[in-house]
Parts: sequence; structure tokens; C-alpha cells
Amino acid sequence: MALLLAWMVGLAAAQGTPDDAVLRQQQAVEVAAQAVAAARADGAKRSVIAELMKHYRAEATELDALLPPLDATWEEERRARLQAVIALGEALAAGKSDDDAAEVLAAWLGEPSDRLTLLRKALASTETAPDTVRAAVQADVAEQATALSVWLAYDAAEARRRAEKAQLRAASLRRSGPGQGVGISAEVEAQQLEALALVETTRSATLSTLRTDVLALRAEAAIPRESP
Amino acid sequence: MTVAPSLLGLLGLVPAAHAVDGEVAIRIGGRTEPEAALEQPAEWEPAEEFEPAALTILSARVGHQDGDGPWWRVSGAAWGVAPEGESSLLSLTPQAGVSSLAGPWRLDVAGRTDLQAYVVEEGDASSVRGEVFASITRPSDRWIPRLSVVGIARQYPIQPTWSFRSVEPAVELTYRRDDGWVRWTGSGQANHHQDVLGTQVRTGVTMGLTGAKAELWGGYGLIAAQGGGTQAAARPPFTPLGDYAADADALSAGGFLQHRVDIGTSMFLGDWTVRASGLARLRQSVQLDPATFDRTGHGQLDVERPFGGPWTGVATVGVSGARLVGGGSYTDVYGWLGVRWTPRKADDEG
Repeated sequence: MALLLAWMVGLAAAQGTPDDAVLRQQQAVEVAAQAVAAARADGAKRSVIAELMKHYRAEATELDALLPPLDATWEEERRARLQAVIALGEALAAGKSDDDAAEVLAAWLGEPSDRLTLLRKALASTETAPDTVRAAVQADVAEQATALSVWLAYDAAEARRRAEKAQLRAASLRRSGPGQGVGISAEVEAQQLEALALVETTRSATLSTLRTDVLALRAEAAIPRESP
Repeated sequence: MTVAPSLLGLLGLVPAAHAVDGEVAIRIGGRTEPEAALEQPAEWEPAEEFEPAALTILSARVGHQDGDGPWWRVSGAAWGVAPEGESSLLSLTPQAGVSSLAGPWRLDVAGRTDLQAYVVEEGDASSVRGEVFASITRPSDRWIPRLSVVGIARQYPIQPTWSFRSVEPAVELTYRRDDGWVRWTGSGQANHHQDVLGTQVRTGVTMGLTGAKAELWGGYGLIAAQGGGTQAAARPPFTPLGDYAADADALSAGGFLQHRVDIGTSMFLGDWTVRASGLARLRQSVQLDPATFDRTGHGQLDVERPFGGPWTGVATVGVSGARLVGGGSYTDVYGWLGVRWTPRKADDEG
């Protein structure tokens, strides 16, 4: 962990800070995507979802226009990660799956709770650091927190969707009409599906809570520190 | 009416336990031909007029489930029917199951008992029905094979000649994707009724398309039955709550070939939950006993909407009917409106 932290601080300083405008726009895209996902989860009307989707698309287009040209290998890697974040935001807004993008972020960020701990330590370690290093680390933390937040929102939405599908199937299995009632095997399957739905609903809530912590950390990283 | 208060008491004892939940509901509605489901098919007349009836249903359920651990569920209902009260019914249905993992395999064992008592005048159709099930499954993301066996025994104390037993070992293969599934099932069945043994070979395919808020499913099943006594037709094929589809198909009845089609959907539309299902049978019997049914049809639509807190509004409309080889038939149209009280919902929102 210490080695990773040192590497992260060093890398942030060496690579320079992520573009502020890109970062801000990335966050705006995430907020818009999350708004669409929340509306879908709440069963909002098509017209409401279409309006939110339109806003999301506008934000995503603006982000695309802000992306700078590539001139270094590490920038290509960062671009690939950023593209994965954008793709996951798109999947989140559209209510679809994107396993490839999720895998890119999983390979980058690892276990979300471990990454959150690492980012907290990285931010805390800059208390006595020079301004340039502190600014670089803050920006890097904000960038990673944004990616983590999108990933968690996507994963929470996926878990919620799996839970709803399991509940739908269970509802279909429990037919009770005269002459239509189902046997014990269907009841066993319905119980298994409801158990799965319970697990996925709990997972979704846990991921949402973790995301709240990530957003708090990102807000902390965005606060300018007073010079010593 | 003694069933619901005891369940209510049980519900009151366990509301704080995390995985225990329950509900109580009352519904009011009507049926056009409730008596048809109690009479022996041999007594149906081609032009018989059954009396429509108003009904009130008080039902309760309590259950426990905690992930993949053991589960149980007890449900009971009191159906009051007027002005002709023959089909008034008390029912109590306890059921339980347990599963365990053995390497890549999942083992499930479950059982259910259904006690049905027609407490006004007609007691013939009162019964005790038991069902046991065991399966071994290899869960995976895509292909899911399963071996299972289910045994059913239904005893009619007042009309023991209607009693029967059956056992059905089955093999099943499911292919699952995020957006749907297909399942093939093949089974053999043996049934015993009035000291006569019947056998059946069954196969079927079901499939479903699953979206974020809706599922559409359907299936086709074929039964080739051999042996068995023709007296099977003496038993009412359906009862108001003795509603198991399996029982109408259980007896070989001298042999038949039966086609069965199922279709249904479930939808979450904002605050609304909608479920609809239909089932149709077409039977070609070897022995053309006039009291043997040659086709049946069922359809039901259920709608639910939460009112806030623990209260949910529920509504049901449906139709259930059968036609005999000899021309006798009935079509029972039914519907009811009601309200359901679910205490866990109030806790969750609190």
C-alpha cells in the first residue's frame, strides 16, 4: 500500500495535472448520467427520461470536444481510462451493460474500498507537500474519484437491474389463478430468485453508500489548500 | 375464519426479525360459476346454468427467507361465498425448503402441504394435498442442468375414490442470457388412482425475454399418457383454491395425448405491478368417456399499486373454463378488488 501510494504521488507529479476543464466536464457528465439512471430506476415517464438523456448527450459531447490531442504513451493510457469512464457513463444513462469498460476500470482501480482508502491517504499525505505536488495529487485524486464514482454508480445500477429481473421472474412464477397454480418446484425457484434479489439489492445499496464517500472525498480534493 | 387470526398472531410475534415478512389482505368480488369447480364433470349438463356468487376473501401469509438458507412460508385464506355457500373454503398451506452447496452442485429439498376444507354443505372436495421436491442443480452463468423429482399425494377424506398419488423424475437444461432464457424439460411420470397405475412421458420448452421492467414468457408442453383408470374423470379438475395445474394433468385416465400452451408477462410500470398469464390445454383421449375434458383454458390479470406505507391496492380479473368430450362445459369469470397490508413495508419506509 505504501509503495503504491508513493508511486501514485510520484506519478501524479511527473505526469502533470489532469486538465481542470476536462475534470469538471467529466463530473458534469457523471451527474447527468446518474440523473438518467435514477429516473429509469424510479420508472419515470419516457418524456422525462428523453429530456434527461438529451441533457446527458449535450454534456458528453462537450466533454468529447475538450479532450486534448495525445502526445505521450501515458496520455494514451489515461485517454483509454477516460474513454472507459465515458462509456460507463453512457451505459449508466442508457440503462445498458458495458462489461469491457467496467473491466478497464476494474484493472485500473482494483477493489473500490481499497482504492478509496488509498485516495484518502494520498490526499492526507499532501498536508506538508510543496504546492505543485499537492495540486497534482489533488487533481489526480479528483480524477480517480470521478472514475470510481462512475464505476460505482454503474455497478449499483447493474445490481439493481439484476434484482428487478429476479423479482420479475419470481412474480411470473407465482401464478395463483384457478387451475393455474404452480407446484413446489416453481416455489423453490421463486425463493431462489428472491434470495438473489435480496443480495443484489443489498449490494446496490452498499455500492451507493461507498459512492457517497467517494463523492465526499472528491469534493475534499477540489478544495484549494492554503499555502503554509 | 379461524385460520387468519392465528396467522395474524404469528405475524405479530415476529415483526422485528429481519428476514421474516408477511401480509394480510382482504378482497371482495364475484364469480359467475363457482360451483362448477366442485361438481363432478359427469354431473355437468351441456346447458347447465351455474349460479353467480359474490365472495369475500380474507388471506394472510407469513414467511422467512435469509439468502440461500432455509425458508418457510405459511399462507391461509378464508373464502366466503354467497348466496350459495357450497364453495366457501378454508385453506392453510405451510411450505418449507432448504438448500446446500456441494462443490459446484446445489441441492434443494422442499415440501408443501395444502389443507382445504369446504365447510358449508359440500365437503366432497375437501382435501389434504402433500408435495415433496428434491433437485440437484449445477448453477452457472449460461448453461444450467438440473435433475429433480417431485411427488404429489392428494387425499379426499369424504370421497376417497378421488384420491391419487404421482411421482415425476425430470431432467432439465436451461440456457440463460442477460436478456432471456430457454429451458427444455423431459420427464417420466407414474400415477396411482383407485389401484390402477398410469404412466406418462412429458416434454416441454419454455422461454422468456427479460427487460429492465418487463418479462414476457411462454411455453409448450406435450404429455403422452398410458394406462390409468377412466374413473379419473369423476374428480373435479379444478377447485377455487385447489388450483394446481399439475393436478389436472396428473392422472393418465385411460391414455391421452395432451398439448399445453402457457404464456404470461410481468411488468413493473412505475408504481404499478402488472402480471398476466394464460394456459390452454387440448387433450385427445384414447377412451372417449363423455365426462373426460378435452380442452381447458385459464387466464388471469393481476394489478397492484402501493397506496403508501404498508397498504397496497390489488385487483384481479380472470376466466377459467373447461369443455368435456360429451359437450358439457363451464366458463367461470371472476374478479375481485382488495387491499393488502404488509407491515415490513412500513418498517422499511420508517
